[in-house]
Amino acid sequence: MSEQEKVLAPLLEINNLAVSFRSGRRTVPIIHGVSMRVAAGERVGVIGESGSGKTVTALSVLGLHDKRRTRYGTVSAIEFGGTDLLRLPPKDMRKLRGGDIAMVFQDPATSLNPVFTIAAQLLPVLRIHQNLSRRAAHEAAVAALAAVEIRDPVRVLNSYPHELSGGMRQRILIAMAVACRPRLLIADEPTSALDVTVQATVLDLLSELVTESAMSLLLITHDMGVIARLCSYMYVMYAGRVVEQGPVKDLFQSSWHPYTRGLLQSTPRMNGPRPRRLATLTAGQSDLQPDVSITGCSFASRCPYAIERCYTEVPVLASAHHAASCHRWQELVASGFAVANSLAPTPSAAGGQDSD
Amino acid sequence: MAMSAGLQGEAPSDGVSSGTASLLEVRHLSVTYTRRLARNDGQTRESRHAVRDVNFDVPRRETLGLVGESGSGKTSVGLAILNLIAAAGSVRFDGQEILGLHGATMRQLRTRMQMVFQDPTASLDPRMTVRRIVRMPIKAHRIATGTGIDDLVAEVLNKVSLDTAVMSRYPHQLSGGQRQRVAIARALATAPDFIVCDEITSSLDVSVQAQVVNLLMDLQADLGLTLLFISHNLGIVRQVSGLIAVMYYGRVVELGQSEQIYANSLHPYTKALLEAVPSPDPALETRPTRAYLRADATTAGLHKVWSGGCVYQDRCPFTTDLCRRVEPELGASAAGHSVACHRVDEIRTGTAECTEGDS
Ligand SMILES: Nc1ncnc2c1ncn2[C@@H]1O[C@H](COP(=O)(O)OP(=O)(O)OP(=O)(O)O)[C@@H](O)[C@H]1O
Ligand SMILES: Nc1ncnc2c1ncn2[C@@H]1O[C@H](COP(=O)(O)OP(=O)(O)OP(=O)(O)O)[C@@H](O)[C@H]1O
Ligand code: SF4
Ligand SMILES: [Mg+2]
Ligand SMILES: [Mg+2]
Repeated sequence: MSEQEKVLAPLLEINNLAVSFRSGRRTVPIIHGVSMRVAAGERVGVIGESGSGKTVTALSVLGLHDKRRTRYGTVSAIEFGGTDLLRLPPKDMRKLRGGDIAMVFQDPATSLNPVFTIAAQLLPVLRIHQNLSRRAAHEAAVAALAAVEIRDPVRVLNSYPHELSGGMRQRILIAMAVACRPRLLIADEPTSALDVTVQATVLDLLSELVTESAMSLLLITHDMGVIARLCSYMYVMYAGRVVEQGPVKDLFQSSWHPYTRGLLQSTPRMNGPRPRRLATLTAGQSDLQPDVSITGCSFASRCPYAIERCYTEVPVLASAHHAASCHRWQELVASGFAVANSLAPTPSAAGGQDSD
Repeated sequence: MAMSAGLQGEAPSDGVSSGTASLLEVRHLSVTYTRRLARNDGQTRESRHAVRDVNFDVPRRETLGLVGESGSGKTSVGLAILNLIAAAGSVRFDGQEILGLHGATMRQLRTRMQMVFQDPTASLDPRMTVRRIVRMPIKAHRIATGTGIDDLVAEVLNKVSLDTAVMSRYPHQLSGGQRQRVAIARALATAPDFIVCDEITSSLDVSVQAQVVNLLMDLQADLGLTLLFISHNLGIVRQVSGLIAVMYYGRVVELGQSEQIYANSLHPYTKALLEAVPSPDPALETRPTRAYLRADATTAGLHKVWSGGCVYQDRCPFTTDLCRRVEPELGASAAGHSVACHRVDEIRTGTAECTEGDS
């Protein structure tokens, strides 16, 4: 297992999380055994395919799935400071949410109440958690909004959510989440609706808070740049699994999984020649439950390096500090991802067993 | 300025490329939101300009990228162009004035102009399945009939790389990125020739982002689409847009060919914007000096409401007395594109010095 690297005891430990949703008579498995750890004061990033289960994983931590439709794996566990969150009574869970654990949701529209002004939603949070008078809470609210670069905070406090731009709503949610100084902040795409100058400020703010108050951060994002700036450790998800994990520096220097490589390559560049097309991860249906009945690697049908074995055997993720769930990673890394492949992209395996 | 882009100014008659070339001509567009405030001393009205005197053209089959500060009025511009909110000024679509247009004429135009909204959750009816959501415009505008409807639904879903298995799902059963793609599919269903795309890629992961961007560019080539592409992602905007307008606090501050602006931006805000892009390489992420992104200056002006002068004066490193008194107009710079800044020439030649005041 990991040696010296993770000396800190984990604050959050997701172990072998499996989640499936019942719809009608069918049960659709979404998460297939995800494990993640976040130490106290650590900043961990999660990146991955749209639909890969990042949000579902985060919502599991907060117990926000519809109980009647959700099944967790029997060996799954989510431990937060020693308590098993999956088996926590709803009453205790509610106390934890917005207290020790706060979340900024991906969709700002769903998290602010449309019939109340921002002041009516932000002031109570401040008053409860920081024990402030009305007056002091108002001042704290103005300061909190200014800290996330909101112009004209007094007007904004008196506004209803629909009177604000998308980016303003998102910043208000960030302000609310950090106002109560949680021990763990889960932020799902917190800056994707913001222009980069504001994003820079918000990332600096988050970074400061993490350092100052030893808050831990689990940050879900599509933006490699955001992870590079803010996180020290990262997980890469694909189709309900972690396919690569490691220190951010190592991953950027040398990513081991073909999916991670593809992700890094399809990021559009700010300089140099403009490609006629952006690189994509080969053809094929991009997502929606890559057929779970296939026994092999879930990335196989899109992987340019897939071989016979990839369709028949599930690659496992070692629990090492840097690890990738790919049968060929060593060979690929050694060759600089230039090995002759392969069978892909069609799943119909025909010939080809070129690895040995 | 032999620019196909940009500002043709007041007089379209002398512009070589006006009229037939531009599908969309926006002149003096302003959006004002008014709200009633309950005060102790009775009710007052408060008006705020979200967009002030904005001018640009979008030539046929081209893409204008609209970037800018969050809250600067980009969505408001998009909504105003489609006549979805009240606005002053003029918006000509294919030669026809559309501000103030309503009834049957506007309804007819709606099939040709679509918008994909920033927030997919808010724009998709939670009680409808994906199939019904995408069928709605197809049926309403009689694009297809009978079994043709479902075929078309499947076709547009396929275009945004969604499996047809999503058809029976409700929006809350989809991931954020999947919801956004449903919204795009719905917009494509009526085969429009102009689409306002408001942050359509910000909730997508880079690989799907790349697919959607390639898709848009393909559609543009195949169907001759004209696009107004609102986005925070400067990399994506660079990829899709030949033209760019940069907004700050309700105003367009820089406008022109995107290659030119990316290579040679002149407005201090655009420069700050380009500087602030996080690099996807931690080795480069060592925070070089950010000359234009002055952390100390950023929050300084936030409490104030604009009351004359340049909109960027409180965050700008070059502000002079003139900047505080007189608002700079968007005008041609020596570099070829349009910039609204008093000190553009000094900035271009690198002779502008940071200021506390002028002499
Ligand atoms: N309540 C639900 N019922 C059924 N399926 C669901 C539900 N919520 C999510 N899903 C499915 O689970 C998968 C994972 O969704 P999730 O929202 O976690 O993706 P994500 O990684 O956050 O993607 P994105 O980056 O697009 O937000 C998707 O295929 C989605 O359609
Ligand atoms: N319905 C409304 N009533 C009152 N004010 C509004 C309304 N809609 C927007 N505004 C205000 O107008 C300004 C511009 O908003 P807009 O949504 O156009 O910005 P934006 O550039 O799209 O920002 P973002 O990038 O954050 O989405 C903001 O200050 C916002 O508060
Ligand atoms: S006009 Fe003055 S304040 Fe405005 S951007 Fe130019 S130098 Fe800065
Ligand atoms: Mg998500
Ligand atoms: Mg907007």
